[in-house]
Amino acid sequence: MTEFEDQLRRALERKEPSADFTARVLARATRSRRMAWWFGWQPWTAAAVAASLCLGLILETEHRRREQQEGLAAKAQLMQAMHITSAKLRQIHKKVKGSL
Amino acid sequence: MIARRIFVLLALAPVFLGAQTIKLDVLDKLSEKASETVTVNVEGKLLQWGSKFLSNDDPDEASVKKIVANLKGVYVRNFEFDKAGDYQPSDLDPIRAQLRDPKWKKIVEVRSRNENADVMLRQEDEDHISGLVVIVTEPTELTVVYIDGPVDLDGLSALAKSDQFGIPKDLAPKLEKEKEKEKEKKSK
Repeated sequence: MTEFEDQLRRALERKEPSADFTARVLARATRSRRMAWWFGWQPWTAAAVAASLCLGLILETEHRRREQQEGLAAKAQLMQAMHITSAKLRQIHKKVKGSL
Repeated sequence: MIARRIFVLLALAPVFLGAQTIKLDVLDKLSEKASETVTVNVEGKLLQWGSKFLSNDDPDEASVKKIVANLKGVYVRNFEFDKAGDYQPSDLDPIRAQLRDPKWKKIVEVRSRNENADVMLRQEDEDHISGLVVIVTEPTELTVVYIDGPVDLDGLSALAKSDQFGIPKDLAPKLEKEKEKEKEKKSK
C-alpha cells in the first residue's frame, strides 16, 4: 500500500461526532427559527412604528390646537378686562374732571 | 425640627414679602343675583401666552400688549343687576379688608349719590407700583378690577383717554362724525 492510499483511507474513514454536536445543531436550528420569526414580524413592526408616529403627530397637532385655543381665549379675556378697566377709569376721570 | 421650621418659614414667605394677591372670588356669590356677570381671571403663563396672540399691528391690541407685558395677573368682576339693592355695599367688605395693607394707597376717591369709585395702588417703594385696584359701585352695577404686577400707568391712562378703545374700527369714524354733529347742534 502506498503512502497515498494510507492518507486517502485516513481521510475517508468514519469519525464519531463530538459530544456537543447535537446541542450545537439544535441551538443553531432554534436561532434560525428566531430569525424567521423576526423577519416574519418586520412588516408589523414597521406598521406599528408608522402608527406610533402618526399618533404622535395627531397628539402634537391636537396639543398645539388646544394651546392656540387657550391663547386666543386668554387674549379675548385680556381685551375684555382692559376694555372694562379703561371704561371705568374713563368714567372716574370724567367725574373727577367734572368736580374740578 | 429645624427643617420643619424652615418649611413653615418658606410657606409663609409670600405673606411676609407682601406678595399675596387680592382674592376677588369672594364676590362670585353675587353672580346668582346679577343679570349679567363678567369674570376675568388671567394669570401667570396663561397671561403671557394670551399676550403673544395680541397683534402689534392693531393699535388697541398693541397698547394692551404693552400694558400686560410684565403683569402677573389681571382679574375683573363686573356684575349688572336688574334693580338697585340687589347687592349691598357690605358685599365689598372682604375686598376692602384685603386692601388695608399699608402698601395699598388710595389715589382717587369719588363719592356721589349714584356712584362711588376708588382707585388704589400698591406701592413697593417710591418708584415701583406693583398693583392696581379699581372699585366702582353704581345702583345696578358693581365693578372690581385688580391688576397684579408692575402697572404701566401711562399706558392705562392712554387707554382710558382713548374713547375709541374697544370700538370696532369701522364704527369709530362714524361715532366721531356723530359727536361732531352733536357738538354743532349744541353750539347752535
